[in-house]
Amino acid sequence: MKIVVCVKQVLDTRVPLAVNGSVVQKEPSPIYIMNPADRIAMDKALEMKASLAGEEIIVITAGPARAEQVLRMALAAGADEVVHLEDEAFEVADAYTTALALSRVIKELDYTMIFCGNRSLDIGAGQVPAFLAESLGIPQVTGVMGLEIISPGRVKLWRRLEKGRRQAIECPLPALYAVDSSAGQPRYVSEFSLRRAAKRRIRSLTLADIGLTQADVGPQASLIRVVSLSPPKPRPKKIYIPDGSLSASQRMSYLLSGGLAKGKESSLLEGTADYLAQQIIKYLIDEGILPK
Amino acid sequence: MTPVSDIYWHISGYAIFWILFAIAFGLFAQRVYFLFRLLRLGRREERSQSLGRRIKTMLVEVFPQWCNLKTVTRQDLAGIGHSLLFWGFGLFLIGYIIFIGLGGGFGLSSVLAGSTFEIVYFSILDIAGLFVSAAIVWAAIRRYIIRPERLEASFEAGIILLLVITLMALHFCIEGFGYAAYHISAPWPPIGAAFANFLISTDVSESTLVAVYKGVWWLHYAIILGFLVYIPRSKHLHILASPFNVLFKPLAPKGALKLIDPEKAETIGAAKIQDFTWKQLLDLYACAVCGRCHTNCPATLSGKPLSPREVILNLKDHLLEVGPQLLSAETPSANPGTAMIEDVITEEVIWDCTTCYACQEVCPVGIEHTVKLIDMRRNLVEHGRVSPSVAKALESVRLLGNPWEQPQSARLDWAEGRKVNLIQDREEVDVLYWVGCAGAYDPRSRDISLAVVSLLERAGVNYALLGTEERCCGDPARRMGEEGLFQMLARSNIDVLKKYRFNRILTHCPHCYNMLKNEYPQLGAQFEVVHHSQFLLELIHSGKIKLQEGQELRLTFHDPCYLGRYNDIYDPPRQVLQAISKATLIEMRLNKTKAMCCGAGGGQIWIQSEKGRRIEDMRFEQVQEVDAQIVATACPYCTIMLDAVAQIKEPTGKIKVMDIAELVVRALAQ
Amino acid sequence: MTKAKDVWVVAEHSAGKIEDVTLEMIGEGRRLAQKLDQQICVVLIGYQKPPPLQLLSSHGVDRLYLVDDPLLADYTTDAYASVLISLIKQQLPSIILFGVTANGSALASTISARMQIGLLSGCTALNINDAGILEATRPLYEDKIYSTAVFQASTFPRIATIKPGAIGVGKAELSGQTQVEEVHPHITAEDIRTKVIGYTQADPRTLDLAEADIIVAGGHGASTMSNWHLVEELADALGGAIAGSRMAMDDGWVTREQLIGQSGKTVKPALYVALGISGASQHTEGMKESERVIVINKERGAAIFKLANLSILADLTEVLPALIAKLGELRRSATDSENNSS
Repeated sequence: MKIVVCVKQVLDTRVPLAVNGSVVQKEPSPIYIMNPADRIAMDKALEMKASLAGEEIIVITAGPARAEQVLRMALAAGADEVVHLEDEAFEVADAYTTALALSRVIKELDYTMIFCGNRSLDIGAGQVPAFLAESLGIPQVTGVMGLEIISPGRVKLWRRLEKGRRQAIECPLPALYAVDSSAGQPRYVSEFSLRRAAKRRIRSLTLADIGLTQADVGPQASLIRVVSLSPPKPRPKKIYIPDGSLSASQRMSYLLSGGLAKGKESSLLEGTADYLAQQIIKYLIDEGILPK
Repeated sequence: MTPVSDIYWHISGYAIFWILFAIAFGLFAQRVYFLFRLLRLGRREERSQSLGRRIKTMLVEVFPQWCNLKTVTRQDLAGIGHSLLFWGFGLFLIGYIIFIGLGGGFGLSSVLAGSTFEIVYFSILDIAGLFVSAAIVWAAIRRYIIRPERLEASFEAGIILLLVITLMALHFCIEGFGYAAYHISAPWPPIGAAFANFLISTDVSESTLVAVYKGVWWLHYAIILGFLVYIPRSKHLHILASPFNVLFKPLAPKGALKLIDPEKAETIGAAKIQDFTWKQLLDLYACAVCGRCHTNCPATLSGKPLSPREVILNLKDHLLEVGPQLLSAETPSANPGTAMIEDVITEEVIWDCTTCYACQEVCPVGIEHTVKLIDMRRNLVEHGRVSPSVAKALESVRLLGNPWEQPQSARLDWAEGRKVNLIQDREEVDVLYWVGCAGAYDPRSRDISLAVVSLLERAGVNYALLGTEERCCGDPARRMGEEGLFQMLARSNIDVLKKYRFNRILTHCPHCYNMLKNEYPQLGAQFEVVHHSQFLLELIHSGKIKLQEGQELRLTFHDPCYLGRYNDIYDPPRQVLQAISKATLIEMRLNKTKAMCCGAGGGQIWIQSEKGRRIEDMRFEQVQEVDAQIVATACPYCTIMLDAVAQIKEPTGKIKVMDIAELVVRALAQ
Repeated sequence: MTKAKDVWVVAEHSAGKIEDVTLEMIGEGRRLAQKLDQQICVVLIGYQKPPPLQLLSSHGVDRLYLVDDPLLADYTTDAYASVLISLIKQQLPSIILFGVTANGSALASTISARMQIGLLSGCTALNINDAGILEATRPLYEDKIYSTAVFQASTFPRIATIKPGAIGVGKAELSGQTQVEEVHPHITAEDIRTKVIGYTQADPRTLDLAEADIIVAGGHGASTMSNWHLVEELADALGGAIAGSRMAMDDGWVTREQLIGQSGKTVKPALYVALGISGASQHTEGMKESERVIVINKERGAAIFKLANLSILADLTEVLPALIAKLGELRRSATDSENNSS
């Protein structure tokens, strides 16, 4: 029986990015990593393997030639088998087309669980899990923080909700788990083990092997089209100016008490404790942190 | 005549002598052989190169007791005591061989008895005996009454002290009773003769004297044999093991780690005791439990679980415990029941080490503590058993070429707005300035790089930087046990450096210095490397940098571990400081070879042990103790650590932390 | 344009309260609806949830679809997707907005997959451009790149998920009546493959900082016996998580898990309150991406002021009690008015 893990190679966002037709890095050579959520998903899958007998981990990626890097990482981390669904078209494929291709590969496998990251660092649409689960006809659980085998065929999972809440769910197998990137810290993979992995076999598949053409996964087949890309405009730091609605006498007494420093640059508020507390609350209300 | 030639209950004394000897020697040899077989469980290691040089080192360290005398400080004079013990007991040992062995066992006593040789030798032994007894008494008082931190008031130590002093006492008794019993009177040997005269003056009968003499003689013999049996079964094993340990000391630069060939290595690093090399295991035998490593270790001093002494002793106990089972196991790589990592040495302890080398510097018998800890780290890394902060730093080094999570393309940002020479634009330069990761990315350390560059320009040095082609030298990776990553970085850096033409590499970071100079040759590089303290001194001496008249500054210097202990560079930075300050340099109590680590090395700045005090806090308190205005540093890590503490403990800036380059810039003539 | 009509917002609610993101979506949805000359509706799926009609009316919601069934008491993707899809097929909305939340995202993705329609996720703004096309602004690469995207095919409904906090909650000053339409869906337990066993609540104080919207962090200036309780009280008053700088950790006020900075956690909360923190880079590295920063410190030259949206130069022991007291008053008057209005 197999546990399938779907991973994606993404650009390392720690490095400055720019738009040059597409998104590029301003580095001598581009730096790619395995999508962090996928990395955690893979770790969780490996943990599952440790607690189940006879399961094998098969890691799959759909990507251009350079995506081999993440499969080497998977092998070094302990994957039994890795599959590279290779085509340049995956460079720009959207969630729908990527999931379509992946499902074709996975359908042929005898799997119990599918792990993937909840969302990817780059596009972050978070839709591949749903598309994949639907096309395979299996239940999906998203935002997975942890899981536990209760008995053969029964798994208990914790979903991450807002503000630290968790929803505990039971889900029958086979199922797809979309793991949240905060579900753990990525387990370190040593350079020596990566070197050893460089010698191992990767099963390579082309679109033709799964009965698809470039048109099926190309931009024309996507459901969404990106019209333009741009770096974000620098967010002007909103410096808070004290309440213009204070009465004149209040403002006078404030200034006389040594209050606001002069000059536009400085916006350091000073004053009585009550005044300052009031200003803080007004700020919080204005910013929508406190209800009106 | 010795009592050996007598007959006892129809049994020849010789028979008794030799049977006892055979038993004792048999037990001794059996134990030594067992210990030797345990060593052979360890991995192979080449330690016989330059045998002539090795033998010379051993002879110098052991016989003149340089190994102990070098550890003597005003606070700890024990090295002198041990030397006296060693020489004194050495003379006794020779005496035993001659007088008991040859004289007694081989019946040559008739030749020796009364001879001038005997008189002279016994006189020497009398003096030696006094010194040894005094040393023993001093040792006992220290160990059991004064109780300094590094000495354990153990049962085993007590037995050994008792045995030795008993042997001294018995020696005097043998002389006294012997001379008295056989009416030998002479002024020499001094104590023996005096004791004999005293006994003669009493009314003790001759037969009693003879009986006591014989009894004492055999007792003395028995205790010597007992000692022989006890030596390999106690910490006195160090007598046998330590000369060999010194013989097999590494000839490589201090602290240099071994290159792993991942193709050939069965296990990466050390997970079980047999994964250590035989030399690493020999270290465990050589330990005399002196405790100096324990009292000099910054981790121990700051209350962390790591104690180098405990590491060595625990490993030794573990080896002795699982040894028999391993010797009889099917394969040498069998797994002993107890897990070395976690049961014997916890992961926490393994990560507490800053690799400051204080333990190895001060160890009289040449034990390599840090190598064992890093070997264990190598195994942990291989299995992904590292903390998130370590993983983050290592991943950053791997992907971005530095541990600070900054992009490689930003490596020259520190020089923004300033014109700097890049080697890519030059044919050939004299000096390649290796900036290092801290110097490029850390906000505080960037000031050091800027200072160095302005000094290079002021002095008209033909220098250039590698710019964005520079990658981490690999020190954090290697010291944290990621050997593969170190090798990858080193090869990459060597390839880049080989493209360019320069005479020397200059660096302000002792870790980079140590790597480039001492460890890169393992991968085929041969660079001449100079630390900025040495280089600045050259510039000052040659007049290329002119300084103002020295100011009255209360300066102290914090010796960086990787400059001081690792590379024995203590004076150049001091001379630089002396050139800029009229006032005498203030020395901290823990300075030079004894300097306390700043707490950042060995990857600790990313490992961040949680227990105990922060090492940098303790070091800064030592700076405050000497009431200095400025603590000068020569390493970016030291600057970062001490400066961070200074911001909190001396926010008004009463004590400043400054790199020597920054101080020289301030002192430049206009 | 087509038969499709109305802009829908699928409401996020927890513990009986409508989440702010729903109100944000209503605001954005209303703008779109007005441009398209359509109505703005809210879909509230659950079981016996009293509809907050007053709130919805004041935000200008025209219609509320109240989908009610015992099997909808807990969110399950199968149940919620199933009922929503049948409602969509009946009512044919033109646009549906969901919040980027655990449930909103899961539901939206599933609708997209089951109906094979495109989904614009993680939007910070929606717009009908001059050509009449719905355009979305979406941050990519962890907010380092912005994209404008549209739907490729002309399938309806257009669905999108909206990031909380991107649009802001509008003023609740409209008058009007929200019409309620009760919907009783046909679902059976067999349709739902997963089973909800329960929930765990996290103590906001010890919440994983990565999940906290509001963080109150104490530094050296707050790390004394007499002061630290103020940090805790402020955190309670704001419903925020407690964190600290290295100094606070060394002094024992926070654990390693609550440490912010280079050697601790990196956070991006909606609000970060820095109390008595000087602003050494080791600390600011961990919080400089926070959306809003309030700094209270008595050192004029403290480096942390450079990161502040609101800078308060004051002594903690003076300002905090006053602030905590005022927050308490506000909360009391809010609950009073809630009690009065219900």
